[in-house]
Amino acid sequence: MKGDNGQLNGSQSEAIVSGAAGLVQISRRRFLQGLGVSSAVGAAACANPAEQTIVPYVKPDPEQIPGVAAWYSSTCTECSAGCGIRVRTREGRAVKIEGNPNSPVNKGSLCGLGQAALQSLYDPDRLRSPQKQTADRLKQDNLYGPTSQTFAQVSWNDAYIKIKKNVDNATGKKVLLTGELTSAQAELVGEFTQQLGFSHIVWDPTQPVAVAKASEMVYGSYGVPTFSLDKAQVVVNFGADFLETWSNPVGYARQWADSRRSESPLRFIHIEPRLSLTGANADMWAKSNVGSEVRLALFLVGKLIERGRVGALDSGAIAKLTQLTKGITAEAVEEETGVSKQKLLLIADYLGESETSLVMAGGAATSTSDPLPLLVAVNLLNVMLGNVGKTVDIAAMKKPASSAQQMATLIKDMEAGKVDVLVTYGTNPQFTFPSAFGYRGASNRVGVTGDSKKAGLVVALASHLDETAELADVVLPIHTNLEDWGYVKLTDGSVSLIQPSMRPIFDTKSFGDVLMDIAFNSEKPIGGESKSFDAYVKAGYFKAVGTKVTGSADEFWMSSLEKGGLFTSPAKAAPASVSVNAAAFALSFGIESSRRSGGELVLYPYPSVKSFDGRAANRPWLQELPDPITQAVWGAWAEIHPETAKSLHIAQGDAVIIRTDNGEVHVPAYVTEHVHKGVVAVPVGQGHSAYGRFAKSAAEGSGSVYSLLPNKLAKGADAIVLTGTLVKVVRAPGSGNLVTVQDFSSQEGRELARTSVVVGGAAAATAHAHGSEHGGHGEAHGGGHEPKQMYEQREHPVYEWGLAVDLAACTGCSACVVACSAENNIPVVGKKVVAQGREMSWIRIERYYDSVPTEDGGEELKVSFLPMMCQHCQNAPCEPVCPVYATYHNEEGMNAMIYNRCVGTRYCSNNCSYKVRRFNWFQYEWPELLDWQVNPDVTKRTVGVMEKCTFCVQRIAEAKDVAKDLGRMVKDGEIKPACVQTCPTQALTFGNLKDPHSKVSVAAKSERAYKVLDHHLNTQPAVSYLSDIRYKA
Amino acid sequence: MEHTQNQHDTHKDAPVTYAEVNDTVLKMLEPPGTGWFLLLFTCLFFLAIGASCWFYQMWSGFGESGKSHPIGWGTYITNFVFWVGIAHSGTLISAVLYLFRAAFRQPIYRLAEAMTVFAVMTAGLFPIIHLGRPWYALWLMPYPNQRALWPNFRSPLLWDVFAVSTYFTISATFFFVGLIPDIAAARDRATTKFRKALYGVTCLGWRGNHIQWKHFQAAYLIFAAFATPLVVSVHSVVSWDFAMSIVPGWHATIFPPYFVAGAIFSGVAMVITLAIPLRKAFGLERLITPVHFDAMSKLILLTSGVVSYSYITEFYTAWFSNNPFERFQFWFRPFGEFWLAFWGMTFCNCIFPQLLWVKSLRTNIPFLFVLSIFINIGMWLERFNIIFQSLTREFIPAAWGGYNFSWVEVGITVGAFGWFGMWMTLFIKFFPSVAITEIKEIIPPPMRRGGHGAVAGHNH
Repeated sequence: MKGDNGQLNGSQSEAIVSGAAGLVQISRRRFLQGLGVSSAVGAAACANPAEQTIVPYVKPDPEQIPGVAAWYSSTCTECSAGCGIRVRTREGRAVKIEGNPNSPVNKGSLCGLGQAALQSLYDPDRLRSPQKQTADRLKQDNLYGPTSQTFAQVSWNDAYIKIKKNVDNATGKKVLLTGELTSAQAELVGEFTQQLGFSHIVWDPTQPVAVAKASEMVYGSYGVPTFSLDKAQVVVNFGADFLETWSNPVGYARQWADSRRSESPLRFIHIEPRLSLTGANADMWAKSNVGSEVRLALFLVGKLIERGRVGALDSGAIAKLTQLTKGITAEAVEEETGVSKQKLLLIADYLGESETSLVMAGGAATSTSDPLPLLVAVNLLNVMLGNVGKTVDIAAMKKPASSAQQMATLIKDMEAGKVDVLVTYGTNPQFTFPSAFGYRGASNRVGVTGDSKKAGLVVALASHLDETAELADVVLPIHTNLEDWGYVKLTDGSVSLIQPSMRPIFDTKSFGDVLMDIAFNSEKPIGGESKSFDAYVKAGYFKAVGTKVTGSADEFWMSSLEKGGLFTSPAKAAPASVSVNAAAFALSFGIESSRRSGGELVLYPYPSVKSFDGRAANRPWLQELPDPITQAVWGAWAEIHPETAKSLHIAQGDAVIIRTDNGEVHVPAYVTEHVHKGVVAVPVGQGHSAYGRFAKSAAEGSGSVYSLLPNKLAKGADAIVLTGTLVKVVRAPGSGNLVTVQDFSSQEGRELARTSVVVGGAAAATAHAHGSEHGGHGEAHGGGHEPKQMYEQREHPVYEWGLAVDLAACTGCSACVVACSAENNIPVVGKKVVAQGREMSWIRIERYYDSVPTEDGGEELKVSFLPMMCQHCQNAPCEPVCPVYATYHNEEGMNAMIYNRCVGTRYCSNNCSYKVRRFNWFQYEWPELLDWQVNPDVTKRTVGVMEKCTFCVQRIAEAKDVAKDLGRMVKDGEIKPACVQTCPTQALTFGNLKDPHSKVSVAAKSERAYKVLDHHLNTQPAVSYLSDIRYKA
Repeated sequence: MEHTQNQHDTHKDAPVTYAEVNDTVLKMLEPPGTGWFLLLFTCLFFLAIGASCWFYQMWSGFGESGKSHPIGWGTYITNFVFWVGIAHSGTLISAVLYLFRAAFRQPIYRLAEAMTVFAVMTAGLFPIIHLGRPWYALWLMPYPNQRALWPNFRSPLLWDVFAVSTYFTISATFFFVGLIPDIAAARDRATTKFRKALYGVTCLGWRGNHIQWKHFQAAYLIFAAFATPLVVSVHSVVSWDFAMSIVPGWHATIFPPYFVAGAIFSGVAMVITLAIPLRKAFGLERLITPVHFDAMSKLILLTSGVVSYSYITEFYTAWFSNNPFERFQFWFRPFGEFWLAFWGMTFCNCIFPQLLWVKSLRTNIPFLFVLSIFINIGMWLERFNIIFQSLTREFIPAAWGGYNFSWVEVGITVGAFGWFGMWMTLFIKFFPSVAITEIKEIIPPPMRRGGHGAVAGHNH
């Protein structure tokens, strides 16, 4: 691995590329002249005079081979799960992010959000140089109204001088406000605050602080425990959306899937008011009234006491709980929660009978005004069931630092003029902190007493000019994570390193370096021996790993950079003794009586993988990614129950206004049965007024959900009240511009996504042995296909590539869709073009609502996700109809597409039964800078040609090349198409079907295997699907 | 000439004479009036709209048409099939009915043939317009090249290329051969230099001697025999574009006869649509008589029956096949999103033409004109139903979609009518649109005793 040297060459090679492209067929001298000019121009664009000395590859770096990718291991900082990543660079440019297989967190997989970090690096709206506010914020007419920011470029020096003046002269408070930091940053911030007298406040709305608080009350220490879903037989979950965004989505998804693939798959019960991605994957999904979950949890506590399953609780605690649960009958809870009595009793039975189980709560269910009772009850359930130390690891806890209380106090202080210097980084409180608290006005009053102006300064350290940075006096451009150094200490003792994958694109600095500079300028240097943040990181890393260093320090450092850090196998969680805090029983476990008046609904905001808390809103991949549940793209929507919608005269796609005293949001209505009647569910994170062109265009001026929230904090927990605000929903004139990519949710009995229903305890064994209940389609199984056809069966002399999709493992998370876009240069076409049905994605995750029968003759909701990509049929309907042979069957079993030859009759698309071909209706372009991400191994397609999934043929070719050099065949598992590589649950398997022992062959011969539509059409796809499994609930 | 004119006026019921045929038909070639120019400029205007829309579509991207992901074919292919269908009746009337010696064809066949040639020329544009990269349309031709790249002979689209180009070649040749004696007649009366040159060249030195007539008859018979199978083959091949696919609603063995019947149906309707105004404008009432309209009405009634039967068969097959996709498709057509198109088609093609069982309506010219327009619309809707409706609801419900008509498509469709109209308008002014020769065959020859008192067609 390399340090600075390799990255330097990165920029050089860019110069070469730009020079060569513009000046073909000229003399060498002229070429070099041109090269000098283009290098200078390129360097000038970077506005860093030092880079004008760039010279081409006179002495090529041995590690930079044109055409060969270099990979850099690092750590993802999009959420705080700490997934390891590997960044693929070509000629000095990062082109793709994949999961680092060495990381114990994500084991090589990565969610869509993590992959889209590339579009943060290459965001065309990134800050390129230091800026200062030219308008005097104190002279604004209305301090609380919208400000009109105007920024002018300044030099780093001038900016630093200004900061030094204010920091040195400040008499009031000096505050550093950040998001959740990496461990290295947090350590440096510790020194910084101490040396310079700053106070440090963390604000990150995604942190489950209520969960951490409840752990303190029941388990005795503050933090979010690590859960082991794979060790539980039964999981009861109150709203924690752990398959999409909650806590550690990639890691938990893997655990969940591993369990479902095992001999004894978990039985998963999910309770929430709105169908989330996690709920969609549950064996039993129960729609509950908002805020009533605590009653269900208490009911379960009562049932466990009845059974005598009280675990480590002492008799005093049991007595208190008996008292608390008195009178909580199934009937009463059914009434309160809206969950049927049958389901309640089933859940109680499952939990009571299981040996190992897990009860979780999180997400929107624990963002209410009073989240602790539910969380405490859930923790008590875990204690009673003996899960602590088995499936709930309270030794490895993540301790969120985010504090809404401190934020609220800070805003008050700022309003009162007590704050003289505010430095923000990595957090966007103007957007994500309820605007009712008045951050904007407060920010304008930094350094102001009464109406008089003191020396006050708001500094934003930011990579984007987001809503918070817009309010600053000075904005310093900061590296994105892919340009920065750092490390993250994981809860299991591992240390995951962050290293830059390419040279900074613009005149930006690392957050750590800026802190060190500010401290140095004020003559209070921090960082000890280290002169720069990268040195500080290296020193800190050695300190963190302590005695685990092997070999020489340099060797160890290099190998750590290569591997992505030091990963230790997690210590086995010891059964922990638990002492329940008496305060836990003193909570009020009732539910607030409904205060709803006519026409009011309960607001249910939830983070989506498309936008998260808002930080992902300026990434076109994620904006255009169909939401797994609603299939909507670009911007937010409001999920409303059909009955409620009818009473409000709202139809699908209508514009609606959601209004509170604090603000209003304009979004389209999405009418769905899978949301509670009294609820309006809206994804958070959309509705930006700044941040970038994509975030703003997606918002269409809709307003942010955070602006609706009340000026109050959750009781007992250090969090804002996200869920439970009462809102008025009214129909607005006109259409809401709702764009979904899938308008029909029924399979029409066509058996596209199949489900095997399993019964009883030893469920998995049955599932795997008996397979599908659709016994009549045995002929469709991959192995036993005896096609009757006119033509000879195709021969595949060496390889026959195939894919297997395990629907029991697929959660619908859509990470594969993002991976495919990144790998295959799939253009983002925008909302208008998607509305015309012309999205370009090569994979779509079809979502169907079905029902599976229950034992008592009832029906249980079954949501199916069916990843649909080119099936590479042996009898491909698309092939014979092409008049020019632009698509044909190759001898490796793939349906190949020759873009050059395509004339665009679209007959192939008409005849494709799977509708997986995509036509270039227009010439799509990448905006400047985003085009740096384009994968040089894959052709960009032009207008008028058809395209589709190629099984990532460029990766196949690369693996075959390597194998040929080594004189062997390609090994099983060596080729991983982008979708297969990134799948968090490893639901996809790719390989050679000619090899009977390859994983994909084994999967294709599984009892659960079938091929979509094959039994109707004899298309003989190379893609096998393994039917989903469901318990007969 | 004045004399004969007067004669016509005074003796409306008098038999048509050779001289009258010559006069009436060749009068059409006289220098045009403002009406004709107005018509021509209207057509050119429409054509300009269509051409601008096409260039805009090529410049901006194919997305300017209303097609979407599941619906790869739309208005353009509908127009293609529509115009190929229109072309059909021309060959049927000129070649097939010639071989069957059906006398009612004589006064209308020239018009029908011209319509055929121009309709094929119109139809042939659409497969090119609909290509994503029309500038590479030549790749569909099997031309020898260094890279040994050949088109895919298994693709029905390639068969289309051959079918349509063959059809155009044969029908144009047949059309031209039939014109030779009439051009000679026009040459003999041509006054302007341009017309003298035009007719002098195109009549290929026709002098009307016996040898020439003998050769002419033989050649005409041979071309008629050549053209006859094309009546069946061309639209069969076009129907294979659909039938050879696996799209529910397309994949049907009944398509070739169904399409041929539909083509004749729409073609005859188009002949009526064109003949009625032409007859009125040029005073051809004595040549194209109610007798001919009666015969064409009967043909419409017959083909309407065949088409209706095909519709019913489609539904029966879908039900009987027990194929869920077919069944859904044929439930969707009458009751789905585009029910109006289905029921519109049923009314225009199956129900409305049944009025022709009433004899008086078969010769009621205004009624026939209205009916023929309705049939044209109905047949366009039939192709719409087949193409759009099938594509909107295929196998995978997640990929079902809709269609948005764009003004570009409408413009190009209008432009096609302008293109067709332009050729027709030019043709009627430059070449005899009623076959002088053939009409003379069926009217009494000019003998001393005078005629047999027969109007064209009656003595057969």
